[in-house]
Amino acid sequence: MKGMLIKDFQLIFSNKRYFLILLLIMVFISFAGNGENYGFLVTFCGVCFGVMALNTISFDEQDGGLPYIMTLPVTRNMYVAGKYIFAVVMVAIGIILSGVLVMLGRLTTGSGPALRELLIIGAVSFVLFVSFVFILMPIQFRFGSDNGRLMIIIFVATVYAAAFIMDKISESRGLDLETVIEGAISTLSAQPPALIAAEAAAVLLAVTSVSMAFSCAVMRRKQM
Amino acid sequence: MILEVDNIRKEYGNFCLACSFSVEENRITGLIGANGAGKSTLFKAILDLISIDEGYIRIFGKEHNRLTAADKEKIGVVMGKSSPFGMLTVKKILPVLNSMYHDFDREEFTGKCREYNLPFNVKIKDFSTGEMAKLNILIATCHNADLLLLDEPTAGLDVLAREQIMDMLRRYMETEGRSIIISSHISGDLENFCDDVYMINKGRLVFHEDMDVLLDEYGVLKIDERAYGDVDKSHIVYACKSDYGYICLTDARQFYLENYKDIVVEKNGIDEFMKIAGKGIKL
Repeated sequence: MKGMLIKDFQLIFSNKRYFLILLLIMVFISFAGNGENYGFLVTFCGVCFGVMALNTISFDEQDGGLPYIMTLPVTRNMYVAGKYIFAVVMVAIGIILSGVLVMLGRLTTGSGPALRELLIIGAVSFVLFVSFVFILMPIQFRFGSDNGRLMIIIFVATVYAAAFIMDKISESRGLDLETVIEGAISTLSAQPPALIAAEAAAVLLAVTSVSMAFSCAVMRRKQM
Repeated sequence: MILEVDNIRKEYGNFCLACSFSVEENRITGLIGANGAGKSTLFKAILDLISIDEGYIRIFGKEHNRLTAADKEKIGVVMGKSSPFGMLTVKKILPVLNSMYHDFDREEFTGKCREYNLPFNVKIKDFSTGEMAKLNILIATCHNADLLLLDEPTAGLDVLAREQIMDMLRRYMETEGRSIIISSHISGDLENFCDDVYMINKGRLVFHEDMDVLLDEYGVLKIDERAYGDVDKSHIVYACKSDYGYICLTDARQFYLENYKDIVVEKNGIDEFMKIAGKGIKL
């Protein structure tokens, strides 16, 4: 599995031009908002790095690469586990990088979130984006590079559509969905930090277990 | 027995792969057949890349779909020109291979890359067909594998590059206890290389023989229609009708040379044998 992780890192970081552009955009976002853009920056980094991890599955499938990989000392389950570990590391890199940029921005501009606030946002974002990537992972394994992308778009569009419909329904019943969500968040935030961390870990564990079970099942059945 | 394929069956629409065969230690086994005969499907079945409907495949005595990563370290594979390392360079795949294989010989690998003039800093996807083929063979042979599964390793190569590949494989076989199964539709590659050869046609193994026997004792008979009825057919393996009469594959060329002065007896290569076995009727 270590070899596969090295391969994926080599693959991702071999495109230096892409990373330079990405870094420039991140620096721009960080400094443009006078330290107020952290929410957007962390989302941008989390999604970018998470999607990059997903893309390695597509890269593997190019030019008959996946059957070749399966002939290397890698079992199907090891391959799946490797992709999950890689995704966790990539999302972590994205969030840490965004945090570092915000801190640099704060040092330069003098405004921005406090370190404690930054750590909390970072930790919550990490759980959210890792869960996001893990939900998409089985889709990518099942539908491959081209159809996978289409299915991910359909999935995200469905989530948006569901949220929109829920908003409309609650509106028609005199409920403000935003207020409900804010209420839920403040209830959650009022809990002791250890409990929040435990709940986040439980959610992440549940998402990981279900997602990995699906991905392993897909890979076991895959005909190459 | 290093590899055992026991009554496997795999159906794909109209195509059906159904065969049994084995590869012994210290042997080079060739698999010949026309395009679409089922060679690659058989390799994929052995490597558990596709499931089989019936039968068993055992590698090193273990069921092929229960091999661990450690078992797989003992197998080297070449599957045509495919590679998951296209976006990387030789320099960048070194740590990857080093981490994957406990017995990876980094010095030998880099030395051979230099010997075969493989560029270290060019993306593998930009390699020529010959460079790609050599790299794939080096990857398959650089980690002390006991079994090589080579599906068309010389496809698309010129004579010189093909000879280099065969030399690399000969060197690999110098170590005791190793085996190779190699497929090719270029029979010339296999004639002076394999210990035995299987022929596959429409998903079925139609022929198996030791290469020495095949080249020394087999031959092609060209018999006119009138004489065909009187010929002793006990040494005719396959026969097929032609404009002239019958073209037959015999496993006793000398017998017909000595006893039938009026029929044409030729010592052909395995290309010709393959044609007759592919088109003809087994007697």
